Amino acid sequence: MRGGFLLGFLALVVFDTMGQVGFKLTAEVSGVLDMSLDWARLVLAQPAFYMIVAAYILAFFTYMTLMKEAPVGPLFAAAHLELVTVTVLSWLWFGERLSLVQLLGCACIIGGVVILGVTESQDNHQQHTQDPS
Amino acid sequence: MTWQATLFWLANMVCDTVGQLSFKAASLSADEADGWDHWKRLAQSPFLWIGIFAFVFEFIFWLSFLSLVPLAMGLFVGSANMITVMLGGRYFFGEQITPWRAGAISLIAFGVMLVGWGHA
Repeated sequence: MRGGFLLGFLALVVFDTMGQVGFKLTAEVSGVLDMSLDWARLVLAQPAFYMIVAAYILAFFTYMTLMKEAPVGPLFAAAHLELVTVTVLSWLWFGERLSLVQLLGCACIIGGVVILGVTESQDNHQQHTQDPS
Repeated sequence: MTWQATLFWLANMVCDTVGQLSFKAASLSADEADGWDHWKRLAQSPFLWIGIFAFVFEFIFWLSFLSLVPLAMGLFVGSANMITVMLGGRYFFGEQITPWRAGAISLIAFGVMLVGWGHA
């Protein structure tokens, strides 16, 4: 179960990252929302828009599956691991600056997710030990 | 941030929090079922549809927000949702905020702050 959960969590991070990159690619072309038909047409004409849709559908099923096993607070926080992948991609793909402080921030996020992963699985193990049913 | 970007950010935060908590409520309502039956029960839960409705609006607000700020900066301020979802989980579902959980989530939040600070 733990391996499956980890695999599902990593898949969630990949789909979330795909979605955020799609948002940025679409937003760069569409500009600010102006509630016009032309704006909607422009958004719908972007291939990246469909990448967002696909990523969201895949992330939805993955997230709902993970939510069966995990509390929403820690799961939602851990899902912020996408910040690390998106930050790295924004540097590589969009040419945004990546500083030492940002790298330190990414390390903190990874550290927090690792702590959550270890302590939550220990708590689950203790609960199963106390209540094997 | 401009007032327009701040407004989009706040609207996004409300929609995201409502969406996350609704999904958890839907998940709990279908918790006893497995496989196909689980997804069928989920689809019948009104909470799921409230969550999807909230995310449709979140989608629009997020897209608008990102058109005004850089992606890294957008994710930085957008991650305040982590706190509102954690508090919502505590209030609505009685989820424990253990020292380890609080510490790990604080570390993630601090990391998010550093990522945003480093971007500025």
